[in-house]
Amino acid sequence: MSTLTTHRTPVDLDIRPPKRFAKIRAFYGGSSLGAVVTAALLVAVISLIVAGPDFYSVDNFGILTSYIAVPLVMSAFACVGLLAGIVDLSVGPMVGVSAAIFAALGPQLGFWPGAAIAVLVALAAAAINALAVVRFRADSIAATVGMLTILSGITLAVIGSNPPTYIVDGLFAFSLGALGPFSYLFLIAVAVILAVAGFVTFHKVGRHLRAAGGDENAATRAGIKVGRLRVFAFLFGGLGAGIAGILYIGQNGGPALEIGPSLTFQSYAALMIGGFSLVRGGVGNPIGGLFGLLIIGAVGVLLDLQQINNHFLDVVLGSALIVAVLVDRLRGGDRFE
Amino acid sequence: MTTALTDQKTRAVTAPRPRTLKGDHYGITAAALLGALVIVIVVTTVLHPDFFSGRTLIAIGFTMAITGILSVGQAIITISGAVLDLSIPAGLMLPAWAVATMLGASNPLPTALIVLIGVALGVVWGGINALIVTTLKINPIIVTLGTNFIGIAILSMQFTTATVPGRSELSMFGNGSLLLPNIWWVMLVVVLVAAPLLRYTRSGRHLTATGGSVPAARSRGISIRGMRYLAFCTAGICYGIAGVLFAGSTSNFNPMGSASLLLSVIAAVILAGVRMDGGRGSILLLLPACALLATVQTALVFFGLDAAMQSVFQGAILIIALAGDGYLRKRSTR
Repeated sequence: MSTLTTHRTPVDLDIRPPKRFAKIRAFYGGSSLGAVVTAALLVAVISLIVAGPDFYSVDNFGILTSYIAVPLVMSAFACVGLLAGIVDLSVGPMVGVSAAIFAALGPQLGFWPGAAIAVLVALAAAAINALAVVRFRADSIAATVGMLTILSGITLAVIGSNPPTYIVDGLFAFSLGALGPFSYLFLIAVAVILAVAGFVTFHKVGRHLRAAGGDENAATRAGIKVGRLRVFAFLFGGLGAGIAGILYIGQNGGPALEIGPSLTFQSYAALMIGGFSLVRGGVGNPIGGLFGLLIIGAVGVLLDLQQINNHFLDVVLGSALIVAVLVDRLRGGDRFE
Repeated sequence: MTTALTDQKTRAVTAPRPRTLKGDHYGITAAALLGALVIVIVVTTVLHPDFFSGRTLIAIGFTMAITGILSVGQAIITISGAVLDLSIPAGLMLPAWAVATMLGASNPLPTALIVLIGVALGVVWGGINALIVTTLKINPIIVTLGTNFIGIAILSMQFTTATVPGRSELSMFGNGSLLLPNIWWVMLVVVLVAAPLLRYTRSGRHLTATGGSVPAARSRGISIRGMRYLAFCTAGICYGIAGVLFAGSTSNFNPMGSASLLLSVIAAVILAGVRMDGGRGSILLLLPACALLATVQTALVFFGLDAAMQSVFQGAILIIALAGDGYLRKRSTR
């Protein structure tokens, strides 16, 4: 017995120098507070320089809260996937396809049938992702790039040259409503975030999801059905994207080709600032994602108000993504050699 | 416990078979690809007889040339263990835009110099990716996802449509054909040069070894950082060549014009049997893989699929190819 347990571990070929930047690591390590605070300060300073103190008005905060409401709903559902260790880049285009289908079918079939079909299409896309990634072990980023293209194609085909408009009176009025600077949609989105946060923190399934994302093998040995949870996570993200698409139509009255990959980036950059990771699951809290999205949204509103070329937001988002992954690595994510 | 021990022992003794790499059935892959190619051609010709023509062949050649060159770059990156380069659209668009701008200048430089600058820009793009991957030590998929997004956004701020003067030497060459399009022949040369370089040169073997196992490669004194630069910059040469030819064969294009190429390229690399976990793959097999994808794409036009539906189809092919690759990996690691 003893010979079995005390056999020598294989020689470690990976000789690394002692960790540098220990203090910085400590600041960003553990909780996501360091990253959120740094990003918020950065955005605050930049906005002061670019727009001056007038930027910090109640009106602008109102614009911000309605601007990020729909992405927030989508992110609340999509972050469960990151926790479970999967990356679904097609959630943004799922919102787009759901919005397009809802706007195209809603006027003919009525609100509920249209909404149901829109959500079902998003769920079907998520189910295909789940089949490819969980059952067949395709790389989740690459496979969902494929789904992203499929959904963009479908959105293009549905919208065509003649974009449908569909104004849902009740929903539209509701979208305009606000409690002080907080739009109703934003408050609902925050409620969803809190609900999801409670679910992943306290509910058994939520804990299992985090365990599955943290260490797949350990979770499997502990009797957790990792595959099943990941399928659930994919479908959950699809459901959220479907609902977000309907809310988008409620807010804007018509679909747009632009909502797609950009929305995914916005959401994932925000989630990563908030402490989630694209390369390892099991870390992050939806409430951190809320703060991340407030920061990313502030950048968007700033660029919008300053009438800066909106491609510039993409540059910011892409850079934020890379920096966020770096911070995540300093927090303890895997090094890529 | 003892039974388990003896079991292990007997297994060790009775199974000295030399381990062959499962899944490296290059001959079978080639046969399957060519078989599928023949089936696609026959089916399309039966349903649409005008498919079988010289013009179709030229069209397939044009589609295949750009994806073929790009897929050589992607395959080198995948084989070297850097998984995937999602920044191909930007890596192609940067040289293409630069070439179009330089050709359109009132007093253009000599074509040879413009081509060289274009290729060099591709290398620069690869170098930027490698720099980020090696200094920040982040997964290349995420790095290139970000750099592609940034690159395309920056290019979108620079131009909305680029027009290549039709009377320039490059356009004459790019649109001309000799049995097959000129740019197809360039692609063939790229493949035929890259394949032996990867297989028989020291650097090429080191690249493949790095993709197989980083610790093993490092313990043999291979510089992993150097290999990352080599992989991304070699791929950059391919993107540069592809970008120059893209500018030469497309009269006008917008910054998003290369987005759909990425899917075909990844699909081609996977169909060619290059495994996503690195260390294995044949450059030569990219030829039948790209031929198949280009033929399917051209055949779809004959079936009346519009651009939107074509992107649906391309996405579906990519997902199926990735699923197949994942399935084979799962089986071979068992």
